[in-house]
Amino acid sequence: MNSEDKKFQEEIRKILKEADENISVPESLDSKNLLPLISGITPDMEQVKKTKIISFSKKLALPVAAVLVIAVSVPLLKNGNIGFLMADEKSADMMRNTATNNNFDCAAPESCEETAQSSSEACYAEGNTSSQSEQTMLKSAGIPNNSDSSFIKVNSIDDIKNAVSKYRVSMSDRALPNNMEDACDKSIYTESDSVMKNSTKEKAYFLNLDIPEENSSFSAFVNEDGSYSIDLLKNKEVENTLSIKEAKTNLFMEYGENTLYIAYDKINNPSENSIVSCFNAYEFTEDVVNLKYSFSQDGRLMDLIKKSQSEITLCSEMSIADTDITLIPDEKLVPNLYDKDENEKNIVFENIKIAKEMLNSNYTVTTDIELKDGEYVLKPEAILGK
Amino acid sequence: MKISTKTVESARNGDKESFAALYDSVKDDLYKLALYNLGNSHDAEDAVSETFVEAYKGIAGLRDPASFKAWIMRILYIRCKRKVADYIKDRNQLDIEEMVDLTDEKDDMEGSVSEKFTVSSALNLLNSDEKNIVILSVLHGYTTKEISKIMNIPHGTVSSKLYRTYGKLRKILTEKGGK
Repeated sequence: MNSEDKKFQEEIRKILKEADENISVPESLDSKNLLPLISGITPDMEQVKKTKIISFSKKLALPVAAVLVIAVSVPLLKNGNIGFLMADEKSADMMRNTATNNNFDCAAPESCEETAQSSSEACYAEGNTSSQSEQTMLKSAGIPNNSDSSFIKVNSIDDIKNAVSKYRVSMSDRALPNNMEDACDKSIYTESDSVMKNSTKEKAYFLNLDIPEENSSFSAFVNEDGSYSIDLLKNKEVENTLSIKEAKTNLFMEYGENTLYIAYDKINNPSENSIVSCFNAYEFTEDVVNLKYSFSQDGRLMDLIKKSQSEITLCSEMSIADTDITLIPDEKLVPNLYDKDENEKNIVFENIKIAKEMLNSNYTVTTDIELKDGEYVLKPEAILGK
Repeated sequence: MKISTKTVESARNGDKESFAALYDSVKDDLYKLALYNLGNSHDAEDAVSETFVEAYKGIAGLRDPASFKAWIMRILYIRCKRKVADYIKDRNQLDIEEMVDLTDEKDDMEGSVSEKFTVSSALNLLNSDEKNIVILSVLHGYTTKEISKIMNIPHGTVSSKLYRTYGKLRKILTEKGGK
């Protein structure tokens, strides 16, 4: 922050403070006048609304090829809905090779070449899925074979602009330009690593996804610490905020059937073909944003947490070995999860149950996990009321 | 005023006097936040008194006594958001200027009235989150970490939004020929 900024902030602070100091609090709000309101009431945990978990992070280890195919395909999820891909050059190359090696007639990697701006790459796709290779790619990426699933090849910046115009997608810097052309002109399609490096206070980047018919939008931006924050808005009010701390390279957002899919991957050690990838899905209901968690295994997208438990998630890390799914809890977060399986330090997912009272509630701050009668139960740590 | 752990403990055990003491320590901040959010003293009073009752009911669930202030501010914050959602249809706009009008009647502070009007008007052009972050930070002196708890948004988000909001305020004021 430069000295001019500081001076400006100080001036605003002074003016607001002066006005604020002249606000007098009515006598009716003195505690002695309010005490009768709590006459006969006793503080009681039971009277307080239970809450819901709203943030989490997970990692999923997948083979390189699978992740790359997924990365290419994420923007193509669901019929006609929006997809957006931010990829650095290296990732794009890897995607191209993967697609080529698997005989995929993949639009996204080629379109990246067409739309590359300096060292940046961006892809967008929509349209009708018809060819066998496209279906194969979707299937391999874990996307259900749906004849309505769609994408088109993006051959020029105009194609992107048209798609953006249709779905009102924009990615921009702080100024949030109205169209993709502006964004491109400003080289917003920045290599994602550069985005992270540039995510200082002075320079933040955003990715916006508006869903006009839902009156909803999602704004993603990069925090100072390199994590992503995604605000989920309804009627222009921030309804919830998701923090993705694991994301290091690519971020994908897709919206369909009342669900926002967010995918991001992290290349841990490319030389060892080790990739950690995360896929989160957020489902909107009438009042709240629920959480679902989906991931790809052997070409299928799965909901780790069934819809009836969709609000809840708990682990910090996840891995797949053969066909078994295990959760690897964050030791600091949930130390007592290690009580049961001390040797393996892995908990079979099915053993984790969700406290019924956690469901259909409004919000929470964080969570604890308790071993109860052989089952792990989530409970709210802080109760804030409905 | 520093919140005493012992006072919080007493309040959690149902001691109304202790709870009243806790409430009195944050009463001004509660009312002002409500006033800035709701735009009139009547609704602000309602929100604070409702918060008083709700906080007393729920204080048994407060684990960390040190977070009492942020905790009760969050209860109020949520209540204000709900009130805005409920009553906003009857209002064209939240009118902070109206509040400033009243305070100007007994104005003896330095600086021009036009400056105050300009900044207040600019505040009114911010969205709810931006306005609350500025109010909590600038007026009430909460840290970004505390604001993060009150508004239930990530710490980094608060920091970045605060920074962006300053920029937005500056732009608004510059365009309007104010500050």
